[in-house]
Amino acid sequence: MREQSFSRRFKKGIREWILVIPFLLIGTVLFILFVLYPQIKNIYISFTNYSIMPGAKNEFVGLANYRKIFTDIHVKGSDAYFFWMAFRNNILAILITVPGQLILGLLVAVFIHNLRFGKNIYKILLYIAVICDWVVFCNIVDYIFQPDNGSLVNYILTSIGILKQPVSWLKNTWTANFVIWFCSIWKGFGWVMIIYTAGLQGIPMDRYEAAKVDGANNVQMFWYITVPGLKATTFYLLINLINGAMNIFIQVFLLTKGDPIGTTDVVMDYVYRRAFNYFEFGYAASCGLVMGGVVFILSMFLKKYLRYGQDE
Amino acid sequence: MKKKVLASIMATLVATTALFGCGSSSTDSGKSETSSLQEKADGEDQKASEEGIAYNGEEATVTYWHTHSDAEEEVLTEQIIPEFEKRYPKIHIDAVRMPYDGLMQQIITGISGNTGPDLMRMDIIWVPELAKMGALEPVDDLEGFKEMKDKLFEGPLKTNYYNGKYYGLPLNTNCLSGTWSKAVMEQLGLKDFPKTYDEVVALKDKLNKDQYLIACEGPNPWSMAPLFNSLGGVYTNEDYTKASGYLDGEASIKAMETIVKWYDEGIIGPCMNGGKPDAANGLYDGQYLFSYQGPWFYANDDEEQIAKVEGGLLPAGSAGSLTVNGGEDLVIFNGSKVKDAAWVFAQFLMSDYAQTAQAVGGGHLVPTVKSVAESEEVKNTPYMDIYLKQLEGAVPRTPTPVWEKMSDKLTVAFTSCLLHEDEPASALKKAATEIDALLQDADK
Amino acid sequence: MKKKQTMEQLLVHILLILICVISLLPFLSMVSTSFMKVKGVLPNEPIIFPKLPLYTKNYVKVWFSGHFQTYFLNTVIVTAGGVFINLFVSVTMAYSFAKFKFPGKEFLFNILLLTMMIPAQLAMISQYTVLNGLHLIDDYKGIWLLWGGTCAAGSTFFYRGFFEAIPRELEESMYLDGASRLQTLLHCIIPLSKPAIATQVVFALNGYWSNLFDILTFTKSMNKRTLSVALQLFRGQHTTEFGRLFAASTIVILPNILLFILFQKQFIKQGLTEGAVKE
Repeated sequence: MREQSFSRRFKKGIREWILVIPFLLIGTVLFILFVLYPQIKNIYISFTNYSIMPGAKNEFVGLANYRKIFTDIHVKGSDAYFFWMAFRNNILAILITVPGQLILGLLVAVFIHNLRFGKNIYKILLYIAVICDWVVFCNIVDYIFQPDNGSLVNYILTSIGILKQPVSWLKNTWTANFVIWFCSIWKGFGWVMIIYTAGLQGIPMDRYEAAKVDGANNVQMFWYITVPGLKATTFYLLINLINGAMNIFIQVFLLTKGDPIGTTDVVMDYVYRRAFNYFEFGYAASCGLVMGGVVFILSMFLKKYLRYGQDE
Repeated sequence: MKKKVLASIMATLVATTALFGCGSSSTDSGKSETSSLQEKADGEDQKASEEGIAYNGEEATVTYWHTHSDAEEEVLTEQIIPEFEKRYPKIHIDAVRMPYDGLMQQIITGISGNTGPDLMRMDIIWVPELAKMGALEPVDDLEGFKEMKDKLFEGPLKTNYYNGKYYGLPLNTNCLSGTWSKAVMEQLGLKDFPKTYDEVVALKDKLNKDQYLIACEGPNPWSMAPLFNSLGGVYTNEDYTKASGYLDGEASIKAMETIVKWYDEGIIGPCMNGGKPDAANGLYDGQYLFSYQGPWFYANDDEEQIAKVEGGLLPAGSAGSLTVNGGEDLVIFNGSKVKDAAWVFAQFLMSDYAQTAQAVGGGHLVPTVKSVAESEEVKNTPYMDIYLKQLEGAVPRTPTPVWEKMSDKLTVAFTSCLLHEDEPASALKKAATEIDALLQDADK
Repeated sequence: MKKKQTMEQLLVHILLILICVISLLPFLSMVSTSFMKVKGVLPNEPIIFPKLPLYTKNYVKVWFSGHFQTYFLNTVIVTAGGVFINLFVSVTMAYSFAKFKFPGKEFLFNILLLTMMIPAQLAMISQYTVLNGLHLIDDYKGIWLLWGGTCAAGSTFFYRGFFEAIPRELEESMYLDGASRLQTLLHCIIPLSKPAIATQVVFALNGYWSNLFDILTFTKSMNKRTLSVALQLFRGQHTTEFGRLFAASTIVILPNILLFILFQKQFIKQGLTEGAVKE
């Protein structure tokens, strides 16, 4: 009896697969080739002393690479110290750039949504930073954060009296980290804004009208209709932004290279330099996987916490 | 439509090449490798130039990676390669200019797929690393290397040496030398460049506000080497096997202490730690007396600005007027399928013709061939004589496969001294211990 | 009441203008610098507006030197192909996940999501081996396939919500008329998701237009390169020519901005299907 139901289920499953396979096949094959396979190979690499020379023997080293990540964490200058320093910077980036982008993006989106005219012009203007090529963007950031009093940022801040002296932004730990966060927020909030405006359009107008009849004010409507109405959008954004903050790379790679003394480094840049400057592919792979594990746990937590399941 | 036309042209080309290739290989077959003389007598089209070696292989395309600047690239693509292809019609050069950021990653992925370049001009510090990895072809036994060896400056040549073999040819060399601000010299009443650091430091009281004497561009082992070495500091022993007792030796600690003191007193300017004015603007605006600059500095800005500075030898410290040796080497990757042709081109790049062209033209690259460097034509290139003179006191950057890591450790040590996060004695001691471990690893 | 609303609107406009000015001032500075004679050494004062008459030599030099026009054309080709495959892969996959039932669906979907979380820095080496095995190094086809694979996770995630929100009744009425799955996708799902698709196209276009690492790694010859690579070449080992760099930068980002303005009608269109972003 059971057997039969299994075989029936099996047959049904096959039928369903036959229906879906024409749509699913190409994407899945490409995905396996270029995303899944490299990542599985990554796991293998992380257990070896990997050499990229074709035909080279890759010595299996067990957990040695992982052990390195957790040894001498507090000894200044050790490998682990720099990894966790970079990790700390990623966490800080999440804590600062994600709320920064979400709040700024949401506020601007709500502002724009309620405008009577000129909506599109603001959307376009605020989206330019998002569209801009990352390399170009970093060059501009480098340019406006030059350390002399003639650079755009120092000039403005000194002339309105916020700063007394020009600051060497990219050369001090916290100012350089600030610039890195600033990059993320400046370049990211336009995207958040666009997604939120799309989300705002999905909230039925009658809810607002009903609330108005009940005598709700703007702030109340924002908290009790807009924010809950955007829950799914916020979840989508949150996952993406956290991912983005965990994957911060190019601004560090082009602007600070982790200086001074690795205090502005992030994990992606750390992994990159370990692999391609130091040739420590095994260690770099294990660092990347530890990072991936953390992001995974974080996302699962968020998913559970925000109760956003695919099949509710 | 256009694509079709292109395709047919390509097809014709391929066909002709194949025919041509067949023809020449059939004449070649059966002949021994040493038959180049006979080949010439046969009236084959491959004629060896007066200074190069002969090429009897098949039609080949050599992929050549480089990171030349605009001006340097122009010399390469408009003079050197056309001349080469004229002399060796069977070899085609596909010169690819690579961006400097992320270059190592490009090399690595290329090697891993066995599709790297055939020949590459790379920073001298990378040669030992890649040699250790096994990616490079040793050149010791290649035709003409032994004869060429004696014609080259020893310092640049040594940068190709790793574990008993040479893995490349020094294409061009360079070093940091002095670039002096004319305005500050005049203000301080200097007729000549000061000969020693003592003389420089003595000028301190004559400075105005916001003026400094020395512009060193950052606490990394490259920019700081001329200062650190001249004041008696060293990174390792002479065999590059040990840093303890050298980097944290008395002389090195004293040199570092002096540097920190000078930085605190405003003798060394704020650009040491990324502050403004940067070295170039500081020189133009009369805020720095001199800076450590490479030959490329003079191609870097308008003539009007360059006229405000003058090249002159660096002052001497207790250890003399030392500087650091930089430059680029030519290496052949052992995954290459056209090593012979790549070697022919490498040799041509080392010839008097190419060496002179790149020294006199656009980038003013400093030649590595003694006779070329001494020729009148090259000597007349602006400031070439100064760099050649300064090079006599050039210390090579530690030629070790772990340079990249070592350099990072040194930067950390220097930075923490300048920021007063650590004392020179303890910072250098710590770095020395770490570098010892790295150097030991490198020998494995 | 009316007056209060007008005041509110005015205030919001002022706030938005302020935000725009802050956000765009650096870009203005870049464009202005590109019209000035600045070489390796940066000027001592911020450039907000260029000095007149404009110095246009940077643009002339950039445009006519070093294969810039070829790079431009290459960028158009590689981006167009990339956007096409991105659309193809992500729409078909999202459709599968949104409108089909099959065993292992959520498992597969979770794998997609999972891969988004692991840093992809080292993937390049394996991707290179794969493409090399397919003999597609130095071939745009290889890059397109690669992008088809790498876009799968993120874009599928993005579209799935949109597709699921499309009411079943619409499709079912089509099935009753005898339409196939493909026809439903083409004639019902896609037209109804235009705004979502336009949004994703702009993102994809953006990413591919400015892609640096993939192009640099997976193409080898100079004549296959794109603008981003050319831009990197202006950042030299010893020197960076800022005037030219910024002139080139302006040329690079301009088409992107123009395309966005063209697309924005779709992109931010009113009347997305009710609840397009799934509630």
